[in-house]
Amino acid sequence: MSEESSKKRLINKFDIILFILLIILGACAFLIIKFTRAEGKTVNIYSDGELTESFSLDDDTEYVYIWEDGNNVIVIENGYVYVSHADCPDKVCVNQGEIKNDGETIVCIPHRLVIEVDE
Amino acid sequence: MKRNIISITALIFATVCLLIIAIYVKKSSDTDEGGSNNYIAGEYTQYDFVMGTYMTQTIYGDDSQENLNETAEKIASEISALDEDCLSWRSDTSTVAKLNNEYIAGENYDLDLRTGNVIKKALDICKTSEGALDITMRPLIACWGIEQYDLASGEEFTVPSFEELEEAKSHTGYEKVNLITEEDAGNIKYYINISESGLGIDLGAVGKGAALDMAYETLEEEGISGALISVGGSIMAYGEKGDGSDFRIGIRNPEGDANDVMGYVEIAGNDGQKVCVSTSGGYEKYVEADGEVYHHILDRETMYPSDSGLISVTVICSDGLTSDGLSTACFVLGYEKSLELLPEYDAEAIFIDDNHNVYVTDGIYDNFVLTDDTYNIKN
Repeated sequence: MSEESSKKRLINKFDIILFILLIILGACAFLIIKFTRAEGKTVNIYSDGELTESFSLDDDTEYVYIWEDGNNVIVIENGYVYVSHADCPDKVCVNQGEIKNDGETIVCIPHRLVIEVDE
Repeated sequence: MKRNIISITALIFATVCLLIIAIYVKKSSDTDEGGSNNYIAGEYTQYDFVMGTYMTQTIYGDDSQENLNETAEKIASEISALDEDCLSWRSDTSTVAKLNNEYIAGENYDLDLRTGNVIKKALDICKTSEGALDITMRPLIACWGIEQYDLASGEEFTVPSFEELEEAKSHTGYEKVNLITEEDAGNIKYYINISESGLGIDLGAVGKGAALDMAYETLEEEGISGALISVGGSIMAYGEKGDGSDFRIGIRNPEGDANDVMGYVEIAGNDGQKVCVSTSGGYEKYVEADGEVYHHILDRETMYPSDSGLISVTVICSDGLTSDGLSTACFVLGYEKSLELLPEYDAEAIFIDDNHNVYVTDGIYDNFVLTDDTYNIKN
């Protein structure tokens, strides 16, 4: 390639290749960022529709939710959250087992409790 | 050559800058979400307990969080009022409870407009389904006591005797209920006339759907662009999502827990339109006695929990009350008979039978995606 032609053309072949490489690199970066944040991260506890507590799904903990006439024991363990004990009549919350994905919920209707996993 | 080296350096520098910015944006958005709990730009989610069940509302739009929150609050309080003032047989002050206590056989009883509208639509499904849906089932439901049974009490569940069931059944029958509509200068007035004493109206099988229809009115009034609202087993997709993507409504695995879906229905957003999806299944409430499972959806014909071979039915149509009522009716009727009922209401359905066969009606076939390979699509 002569000095003359590279002066004439503002964009040459290498620029185009580099441009494409840049786009691919950008797309990779975007995908890496997107996929590293897919896992649920926060556990939100709602009492009668009001957010009362938030925990990280990564930190193992046990929390006792207290309602007017009873309680539910909420356990966060190994990146999962579940209700281990409850004194509600139907035990639907206990039987629901473990959740971990974004948007999943455990609900105890008698105690007006919603446990939600959020990004 | 020198020029190329400069441009490569510039591009690498630009890429590194972009990456740093991207990581910074990701971090700051993470902390944002932690602080404002249930609000992401253009999308607001709220949980409420209404009608003895729970409701999830996700409202889409460019409005501020306050405005979306206000709409969600309004919908929740209106649905509570609909239940307590009109439909609930439990609430002493509701139209239905007062009707059940006060009506005199063969005499017209005044209904408010809302209750009248609900009973009118529900009674229509009772007739076309020939009693597979029946809004007078309260005595039989009470006789079984499946809904009230408290597992924690430690008491064993006892199946009612044939005589007890016969006695309860004699106080049921939608055909004994007449709705009278009077139209005066464009105003509609409803009366109800029940031909026998000792009956009672129970709108439990259509209440959640009626709640969705009421929510729809509010969404329209408030000029909301899109929403996804679920009340118990009934869900409404309204308008469009902010990002233009389809609504995806999971169909629960009848043998799994509440977060376990066996497939989903994709519903394209449509400005100002609603699509309602209601599921009825024996898994919602059941008891066990002597090794037998008794679920809560009763068949008036047999007086026992319905035994049509289905373990869940999902009905999809444009009206909330209709989808809710039809899902119960179809669950009792079974697959074959349901196929005659559904077209009367322009409704589509997904049936799951006890052999894990899934039947999807033609109109919704292309929108349904099966995700659990223990189930087989049969048609």
